[in-house]
Amino acid sequence: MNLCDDGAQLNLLPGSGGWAEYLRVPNADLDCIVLPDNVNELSAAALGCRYMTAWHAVHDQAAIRGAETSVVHGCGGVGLAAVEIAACLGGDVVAVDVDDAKLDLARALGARATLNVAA
Amino acid sequence: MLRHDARGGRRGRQETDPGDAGAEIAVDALGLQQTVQAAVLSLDKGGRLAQVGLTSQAEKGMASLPIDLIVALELRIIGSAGNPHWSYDRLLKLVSQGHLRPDRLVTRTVRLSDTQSVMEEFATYGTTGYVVITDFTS
Repeated sequence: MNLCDDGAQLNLLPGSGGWAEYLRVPNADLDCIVLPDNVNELSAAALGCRYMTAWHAVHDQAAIRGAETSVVHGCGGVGLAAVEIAACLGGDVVAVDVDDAKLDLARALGARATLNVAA
Repeated sequence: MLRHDARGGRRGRQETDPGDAGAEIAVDALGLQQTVQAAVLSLDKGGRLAQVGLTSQAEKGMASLPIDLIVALELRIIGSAGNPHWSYDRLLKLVSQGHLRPDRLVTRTVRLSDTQSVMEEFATYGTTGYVVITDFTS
């Protein structure tokens, strides 16, 4: 496990460590997913954690059906991905944030309307 | 975009309101008291909230919600954590077909040595889109 100079652990899950150059994957058939040939490394890096979290939320958990109105509150990494995914799956998307730059990106990714709720 | 007040009363249409009806789906990607409440209040009857954001130091896991409204409008709140193995197949298919373009969210590519300053921006929500390390040599 990689540790910081002061001995602190970098991790999300206790004991998992972080910033390693190599990673042991004992159950590779289950824990690894083969990337399609035409998905490049940049897209794969972007998919990790934030994008796939938004996918599960919109596609599996909220189980969006075509043309449903969807409001995404917070346009950070997960929120922006939720905007693109909901729009791709046919949703009518409204994005809410307090930052115009993030809302501009949300619109470029498919939001029909944006709402800046900064006080 | 608040369709209702906390007791279930219908609000008048606001000038900034992008639509007449509430939403069928809300996603709260932040987990703040403010956003989780706004997400519930933006729903129409029978609407569902996918809760993705974990709470901050301020909430410490607890947030208050408009219960009467959740009852009256028969709202559903669904937690969502990460992505299970079985759900990658369709996601990767849409990416490989070009329908989903996660690379469009990448606003900046950096060197490994830039990591510290990128991480510091997270604390103030200063990052727009994704930052990806593409140069591991320095």
